[in-house]
Amino acid sequence: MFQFLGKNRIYLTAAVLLGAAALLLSSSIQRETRFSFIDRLIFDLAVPIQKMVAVPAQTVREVWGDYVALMGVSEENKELRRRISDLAEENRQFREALLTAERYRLIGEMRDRLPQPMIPASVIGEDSTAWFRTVLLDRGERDGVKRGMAVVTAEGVVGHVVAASSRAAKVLLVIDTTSAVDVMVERSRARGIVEGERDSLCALKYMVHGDDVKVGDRLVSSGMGGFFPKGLPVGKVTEIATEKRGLFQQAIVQPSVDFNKLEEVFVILELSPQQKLLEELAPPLG
Amino acid sequence: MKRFLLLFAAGFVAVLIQVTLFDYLPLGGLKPDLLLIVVLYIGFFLPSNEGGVLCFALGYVEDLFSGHLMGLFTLMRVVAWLAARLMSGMLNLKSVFAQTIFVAIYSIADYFILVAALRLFGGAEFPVPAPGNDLWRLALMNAAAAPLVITLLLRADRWLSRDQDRRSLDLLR
Repeated sequence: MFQFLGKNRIYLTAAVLLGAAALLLSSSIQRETRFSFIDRLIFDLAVPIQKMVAVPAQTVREVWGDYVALMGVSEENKELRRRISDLAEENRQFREALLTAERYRLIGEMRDRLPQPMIPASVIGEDSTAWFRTVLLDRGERDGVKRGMAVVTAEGVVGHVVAASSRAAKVLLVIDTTSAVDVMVERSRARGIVEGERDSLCALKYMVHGDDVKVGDRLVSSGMGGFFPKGLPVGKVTEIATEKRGLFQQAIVQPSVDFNKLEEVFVILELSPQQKLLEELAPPLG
Repeated sequence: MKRFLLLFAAGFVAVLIQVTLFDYLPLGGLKPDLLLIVVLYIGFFLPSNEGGVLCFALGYVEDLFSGHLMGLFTLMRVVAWLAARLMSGMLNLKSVFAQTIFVAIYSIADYFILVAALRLFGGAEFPVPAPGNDLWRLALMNAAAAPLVITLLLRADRWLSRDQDRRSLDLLR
């Protein structure tokens, strides 16, 4: 017996571990698992390290963008280059100030539009793999962030919180293939579902043939999906599938938010009525 | 135990690098899967029980930082470890070059295991990420990163064992 176990130790270990992982995955697919104490601890331990990397890396990227691109000019033009560099820096500062002012104006407009309380958060990390689209925020439960809360920017919806520890939160972006947002066409009020696709695009699905949607139409959240308040910009229709088969028509959607430049977001600190109900009804897990 | 902790720390650092540093590099939205390389390394070099548990733990850590399904990468990393363990017994994977080739091939297989796991546990309708050309680029990136990661881990491993030898000699003295 022991000889058999010894000989097949690797298969036994693998079977036990695979079984445990399969159980975990199976329960995670059926019901959303909550972070345990250990999970929170690991998540929180990573935050200072992530910040340590994020801040210098952002600075290096800015320096790279502003100065290194100007390098490579010959020696004779050194003085001129220095002058250009000074002007470019001055110009960059002006442009940055203009952009900041514009961003604050948009944020102000958004805050006027949404009555819910919000908290600003910085993106401190992205998904560790290339297959999913999540980001990590530097705000967690101690700031009032909870699972199910909507995350937005002045441009539109970003995603929703899928897990939160005391100091950080993981957000599933609307461009993730497993994400779905209930939307309506701003112009015609026709309803559909926006799902994540590859290359930071989304697809508009489950919109009945004959519903009024055109290229260029703006899509806004319907408030029925369970995460986002009504009326937040989601994206713009860029292409409509010509195929007429089936019940529904499909369209390609360019999200309102540029997910490649996501740095600052807002977490809406109020759960939607559906999320509140789920929170009350669902038994605590994990 | 020290080796276990060293490799766990290496895996944890790999995940953190993937989460933070790689986003600032112009890699076209892709990032090398350093943790996969660490896991395959564990499969090549660590005794079976310890290695499996370690890969399970590292997969769990990756689950915390990726996607929204707990257990997906836990499962995939154990499968990767088992594949490396079994293949290192069947094939001659002693050189870093052979290990690099294995990393590249397994990177492609890893995507199909991901899809299979999502389909198996989430059903036929469960949305899966489309690979496009990303799969080949990812395999090449992993292959490019593999020699560096494997060599670093080998050196750290050797340094650790040399340290242990010296300490045992100190005790004898």
